[in-house]
Order: sequence, then C-alpha cells, then structure tokens
Amino acid sequence: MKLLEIKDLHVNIEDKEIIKGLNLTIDYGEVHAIMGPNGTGKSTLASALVGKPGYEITKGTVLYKGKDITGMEPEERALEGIFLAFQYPVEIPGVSMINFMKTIIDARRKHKGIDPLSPVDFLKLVKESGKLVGINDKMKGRAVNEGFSGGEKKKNEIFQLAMLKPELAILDELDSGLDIDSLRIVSEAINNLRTTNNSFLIITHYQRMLDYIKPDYVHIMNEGKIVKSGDKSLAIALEEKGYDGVMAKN
Amino acid sequence: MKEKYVKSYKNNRHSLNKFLDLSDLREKAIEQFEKQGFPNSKNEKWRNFDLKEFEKIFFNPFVVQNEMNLKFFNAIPGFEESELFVLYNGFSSFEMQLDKFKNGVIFGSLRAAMNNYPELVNSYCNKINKQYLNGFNSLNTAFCFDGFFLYVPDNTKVDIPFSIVNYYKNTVPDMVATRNIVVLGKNAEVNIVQVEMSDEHDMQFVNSITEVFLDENSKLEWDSMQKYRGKTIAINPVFIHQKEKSGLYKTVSTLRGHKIRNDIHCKLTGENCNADINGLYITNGNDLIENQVFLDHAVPNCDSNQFFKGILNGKSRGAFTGYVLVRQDSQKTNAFQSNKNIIISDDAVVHTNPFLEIYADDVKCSHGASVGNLDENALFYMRTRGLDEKEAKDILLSAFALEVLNNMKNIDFKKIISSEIEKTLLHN
Repeated sequence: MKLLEIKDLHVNIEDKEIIKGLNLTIDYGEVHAIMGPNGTGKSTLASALVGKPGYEITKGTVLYKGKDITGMEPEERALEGIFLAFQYPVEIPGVSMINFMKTIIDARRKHKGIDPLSPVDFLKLVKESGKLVGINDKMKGRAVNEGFSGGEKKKNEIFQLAMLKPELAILDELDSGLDIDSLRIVSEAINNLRTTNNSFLIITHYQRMLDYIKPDYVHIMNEGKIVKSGDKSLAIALEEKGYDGVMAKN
Repeated sequence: MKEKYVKSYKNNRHSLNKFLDLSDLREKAIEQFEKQGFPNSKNEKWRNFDLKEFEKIFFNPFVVQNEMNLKFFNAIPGFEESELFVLYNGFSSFEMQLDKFKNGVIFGSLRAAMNNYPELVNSYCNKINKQYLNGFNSLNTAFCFDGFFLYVPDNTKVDIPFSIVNYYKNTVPDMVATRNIVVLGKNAEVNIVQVEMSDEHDMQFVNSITEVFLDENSKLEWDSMQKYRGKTIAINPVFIHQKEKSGLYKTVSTLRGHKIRNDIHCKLTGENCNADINGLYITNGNDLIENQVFLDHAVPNCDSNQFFKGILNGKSRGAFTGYVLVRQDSQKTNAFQSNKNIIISDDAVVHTNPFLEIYADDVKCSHGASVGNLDENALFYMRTRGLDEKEAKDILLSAFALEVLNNMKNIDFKKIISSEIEKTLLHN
C-alpha cells in the first residue's frame, strides 16, 4: 500500500475545472516535487488534498494509506497525518503561537487516544522544533503569524511541521518570500525531518529549493495535469530550457 | 404612564427623603420628568433601543426591601481579597454599610455617607449638566435611595481594589433607582471592580446614575462585568468629570442582557487627560445591548481611546455609538475609536455609529468600524492543523473578545472575566 495514490483527479472551483485528470503516487519516504507555470493548478491540488471548502472533487479518488479521503473534513485529514505548509500562512490575531501549538498537539494526541504531553515535554518539543528553523522564544509568545515577516511566516510553517511530524507534508511554494539564507535554513530543517516513514510533496516554481532538498521525483504540471515526470535532472533541464523548452519535447 | 410615576413620587416623597435626603433636587427632577417623560425612539439617541415596555408596564419606583441573600458571594472567586460592597436590589445589603479607613478613604453606602458626611456628598451629588439628562435620569434623581459612594482623598493610592456587586433579584416589575458617586482627589489612584448581575426569571428595571470626579493627576481603573439574566432592563449612565492629568481606564464586559444600555459621558476639562474606554458585548437570543460613549474634549492636549467589540448571535441586537466632540480650542487632541463586530447568526443585527465632531484644526482623530463573520481563512488554517470547526470557532471568538481586556491591570479580575467570557461563548 502506498502512502498516497491520486487517480484521475478532477477538481472544480466555482464550477470551473482546474484539475483535469491528475495521477500521482507517492510512497513512504519519498520526496516529490511538482513544478509548472503559473495557473496550472498546483496550489489547487495542494488545497484539494487538505479539503479546502469550495474545492469540489468531481471525479477520481485520493487514497491515503489506502483509504479514500475525498469525503473527509480538513481536520480529519490533518489528524490522519496530512499537513499543508501554506503559501500564504494565515494570521490569527489574539491566539499566541504557544497556546495554538498546545491546542493542536493536544487535539492530535486525543485523536490517537494518548495522554496530553506533559508541560515539560511540550516545552522540550517546542524548543527542539524552534531551534531547527530559528524560531525564537519571542516569536512563540506572539499571535500566530500576526506581524510576522514573509520569511518568519514560512519558518513558522516548518516549525509546526517539526512539531506535528506528519506523514505527508505538502509544501506549497515554501520558497516564495524566503531569502537565500532562510531558504537554506528551512531546507536543512526539512532534510532533518526526512525519515523512511514520511513523505513530502513540494510545490515550487524554481529549481533552487531542489538544490537543497533532493527530490526523488520531479513532475511537471500543466493545465491541470501532470504532463511529464522524471528525476532531479528534469528540474535542471527546466531551469535551463524553461517550461516551453521541456514540454516541447513531449 | 408618566402620571403614575408622578403620583407615586407625591405619595412617597417624604419617605424617599428619609432614605436619602435630596430635598429640592427630587422636586426639580420630578418636574423635569413631567415635562420630558420617557425618551422615545424618535430621539436620535434612542432610535436603536426598544422602549415599548415603558409604555405598557408601570415599574413600581418605590419598593422597600427586606430580604437579603448573600449566598452568591461564593460564586465570585477572588473577591475575598478586596474590599467588598454589595447592593442587593439597590440597597446596601449590610444595613447602611460604610467604612472610613485610616487613610481617609470612605467606601460604602451612599445613604450612610449622606447621613454621616452630608456636606461632602452634596458637593458631588447631581453635578451633571441639565442638558444631558433625559427622563430616565430625572426619574432616578426623583426616586433614588441608595448606591455606592467611594471617596479617595488627595495623594492617596490604594493597592487593594474596591469591589462592588450589584445584585438584582425580583420577579415583579419594580424600578431600582441606584445612585453612585466616585470621587478621586488630587494624585489619588484606585481600582474599582464591579459585577452587575440579575437572576433568571427576573423582570425589573434598573435605572442607575453614576457620577465620577477625577481630580488633578488622579487615576481610576474601573473594570466591570455585567451579566443580567432574565428580563431585566438596565439603563446605566455614567458621567465622568476629568481634571488635568487625570486618567480613566474603564473596561465594561457585558455578557448577557435582555435590554441593556450603557452610556458613558466623559468630559475632559483639564489638559493632559487620558480616557481609555473599552467595551465588550456578547449577545444571544433576543438580547439588546447598546453602548453609547460621549467624549467631550473641552480642552487641548488630551488623549482618548474607545475600543469596543461585539459578538452577536441568535436574533439579538447590539449597538455602539461613539461620539467625540473636539471643541474649537482643543488643539493637539488625540482621539481614537474602534468598534468591531462579529455576527454569528443570520438574524442578529448590529448598529455601529461613529460620530466625530471636530472644531479644532490640529488634532489626530480616527475611527473605524467593522461588521463581519469569522475569518474563513483562519478557520480553514486551524482545521488543517487538526482542530474541528467548533473548536476553531471558539478559539477565534474568544481571542477576538479577550482583546478588549488587554489594558486591564487587575490580573485577578481579568482572569475571572476571561473565564466568564469563554464560558459564555462556549454556551452560545
């Protein structure tokens, strides 16, 4: 059984078809990258996988650990181990990072039927995860994403990822808004979090992030479908020849 | 209906003055009431308030209370620490309780204070400019019989908060006319915490007036929580006079109320004053909660800040009017105002009316109002982290509400109110 199997997926937003028959299989421990021009449905795929309201799956199946998740609520998918690092992380005024993390960690443990983390263990986890991406104590006391810079918001997503340790992490344009140094830090953090049991789906425009996080597979998406798949060399070819150049060979 | 009140006054005027000797103030007030009657909805200030009960029901304004019930004390944790004064249906619950402390502070029943310190009380009683008084206020002056009195002499700072509980329990339509006076001398500093509550199945009309005098460089932090259960109607105007360098820090959280009207009338009469007024209203069912603030910047170099938030559910209604008047010579005024509302249900309504009248030219004034639903993007974000919709909504709502308490310095009372707010939202 694979971690994720997407078969002939069709997704509509407000009756407009954005994803038009997409197939993708991700196995445990793999890193997949999806690249493609603007407006081809990459972010729509990410949102549809986590169950965003208004994203209607009209056809196809999404099997996660062998179970069809297309009818599941976003929180059920999250509790099953799917995580989305948002392209535009949302500000939650008045809710401190630390309380937010405590609440979501508790919710997960409750779902799994295990006792809440002790305050000591919780703070240890916070500290370790924060260290990984350079989130300091000051930031942890602030409201979630409120007043964070673009880079801080992205780091915060990976901080949460480190805290929650999902099995499937979808990173939606994590590199946008990150400077070179931050990109390196965040990428190293992700490499640290890689195991044989979790997988990553990286959505990006540029190859530069893939210099740090080596993908096992690279897919090119165009007009709602994956049109070409290959290994890391495909990303390099893209960088050199552009989407038109690579896809023309098709 | 008006005549019934006038008749009741004439029958009881001597008894009323025996309770609280206001002599000719009462006479003038009832004359005024005869002229004014109750406000009606054609009056701009009352157009969002439902006044129809006052046409139909006679709220008996003269009731002698006997029964005391102090059991509810235990329901309010943290109160043991502070000086506590309880008004039960408007009456001082311990017979004429009044304390005079070593530092000269006087705290307790207005009635007792009037007996013991008539000159002091009279010099602060009913100093409100007549043009601001409506029929309800006149009726209060005609019928008031007790209330709380707090006097803090010059240069006196009190660390322990003064706690006031207004507890109303009545199943017949009586009017409770309480009258309160707070006086802070020069450089005085004090914290008042107040809980106003009524019981389920109640049906009464609370008609109060509070007068507050802040002398030079005094600071009053006044935090209150209102939880009017049952069908209590409460009209609670507060008239504040601020002298130079004085500071008012007021937070009112209204967690329930059939028909509640909180008016805050604040006049800044000396330079370098600060008035910081925060309010929260959480409405449900058929509640109606209205806040009106009138901030009179009568002199230059003063700051005021109004920060009000509402969460509305069911078929309830809320209203906020923030009127800022910056008079011609009041240069360098900073006056800010914000009113944000979240409407949870389809049938709830909120009226938000910022109103700035500015005659000076070198001022900083701003106002902002918003009415909306919960942020869908934030809800979705939280759900992708594993919180169900209800949990996510509760967290967002309580974060929205609790922001109103941010400036409270009394951490113990802040905790009490916060947990009451969270309980209220969960229940809603």
